[in-house]
Amino acid sequence: MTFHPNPIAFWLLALMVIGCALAVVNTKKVFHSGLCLVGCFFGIAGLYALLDSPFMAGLEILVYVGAIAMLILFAIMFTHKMMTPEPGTVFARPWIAAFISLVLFGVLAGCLAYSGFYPDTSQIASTEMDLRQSSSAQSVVLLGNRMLNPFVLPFELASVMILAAMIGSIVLARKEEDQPEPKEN
Amino acid sequence: MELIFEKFVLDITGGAIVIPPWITMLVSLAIVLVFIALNAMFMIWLERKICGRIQRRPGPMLTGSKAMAQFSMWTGGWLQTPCDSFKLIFKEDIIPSRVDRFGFILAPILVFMAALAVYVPMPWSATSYSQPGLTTLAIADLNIGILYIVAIPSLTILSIVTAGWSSNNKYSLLGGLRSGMQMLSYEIPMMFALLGPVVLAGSLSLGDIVKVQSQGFFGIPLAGWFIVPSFIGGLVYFICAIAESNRPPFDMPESEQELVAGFNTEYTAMRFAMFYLAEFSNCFVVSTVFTVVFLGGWSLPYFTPPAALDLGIFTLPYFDLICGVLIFAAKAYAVVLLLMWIRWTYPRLRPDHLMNFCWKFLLPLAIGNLIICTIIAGLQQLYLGGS
Repeated sequence: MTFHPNPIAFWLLALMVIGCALAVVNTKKVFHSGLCLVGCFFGIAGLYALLDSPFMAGLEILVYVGAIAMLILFAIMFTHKMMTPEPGTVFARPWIAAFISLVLFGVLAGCLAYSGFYPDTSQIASTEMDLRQSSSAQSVVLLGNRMLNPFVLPFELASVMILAAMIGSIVLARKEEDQPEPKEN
Repeated sequence: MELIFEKFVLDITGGAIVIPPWITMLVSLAIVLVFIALNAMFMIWLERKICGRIQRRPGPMLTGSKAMAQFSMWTGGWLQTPCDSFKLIFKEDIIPSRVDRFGFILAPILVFMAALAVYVPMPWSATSYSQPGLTTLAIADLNIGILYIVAIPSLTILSIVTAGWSSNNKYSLLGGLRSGMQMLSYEIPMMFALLGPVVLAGSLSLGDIVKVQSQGFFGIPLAGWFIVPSFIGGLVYFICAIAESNRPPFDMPESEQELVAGFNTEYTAMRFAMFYLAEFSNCFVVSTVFTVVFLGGWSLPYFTPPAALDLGIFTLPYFDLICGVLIFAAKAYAVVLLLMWIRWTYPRLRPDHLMNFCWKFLLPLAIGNLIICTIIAGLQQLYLGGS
């Protein structure tokens, strides 16, 4: 069973992701950058959906668009003189930026190509048959089983880390004891 | 993902015409668009009539014929919302000169996109009650239905915040921020409230959730509706749903005494209508989600309609499908009525009370409900075995 994502949809989504990512660093208003970032996240969610993993697509929208992008937009709204464009943020050193981006791209592509993280299709057919056959219909169930059976320790460790971060943020944001809160009615 | 609609068309034409998927997509899009517009018009009329009834006045009575007004309070002024809609279409579209054009134009588009997209996994009915492997009548019965339903409204929040910011108006900005704050906060107990039924059903698909509910609970048919084992969850979801659709008593974003009209102060004509349509559409959507997840969707205990109804003269095909849609609509509009009743009964909350209520009351309640649901699901599995 081979799996062919629609190439037109892929290229459109790829174009959307790259275009939005470029717009994030190129627009003069910071709020627009935030909006373009949302477009980028949507494109990535579309790519996930195209790769037959709707659960990842849903989580991408829920977590990245719904939480992270909103947090970024809120931060922008609270901090900046919002309507004035920022002249200094646009491509201060274009050649250095291009060089660093290329090096980063090369390193990531090399890692993916040589680490075996990108699996052989024949390998998929033999070892991950269950995942292939059931594809999207059972992917949530499979994901849940994998998380709670072989990968339960990293999963729980991640949750403990998030809990610690949450408690830490509450402790940092809490008001001091000697400042009494204004009395509520 | 399976386009049920496509199969449906194939079934009607007897396989003679094979419809390419993009046509079915366009057709379902058109159906949803028309439905949103008509439904919003109906709901606005209903809202005004109910508001009138609660405040002991007849509501709009003049537009439409005199005979209809004399006939009954409910039929008078039936032409009011179509006329209002036409007025909105023909009004001048004003973009103030100091707004941020990109965001100002983008926001209504985004909010309407979100309102449209939510309808994709909605299970209107079963295509057949009698078959064991019944499929649901939906544009696409996504296997991540619940996740999709809670993920898409984040686009609504985004567009409201964008509208507030790009209007370049203090009231709009405050309205947008308040709305973002409120909707983001209430999303969390809402998700936890929806997780209970997900655990009970063992699936994220809306169609599967309805199917599990139609099977009953320990042999009791009506108790299969998740409002019974997860009553607290239903209550929490209902409250959060009001807050999510920005309706009173949670309409902080547009509390007119403080914020003029909130995030849509600067919007006029069709751009304003987009927000308005989306708001009513979202109100209907949260009611349908409540119906699907807690009230058994298109299922009704002790009732299995035949696949075709023999009327003597001719047989009505797809009778079970039509019954399912009607049951679903009846339940959904009952929830809509409840929402409207609450709207015109309770005064608005203060923002800090609103936040405290969400984080200190609803969230623990929703998590408690999830624990109860997990225990019930475990017991069910223990006694009934399997699944």
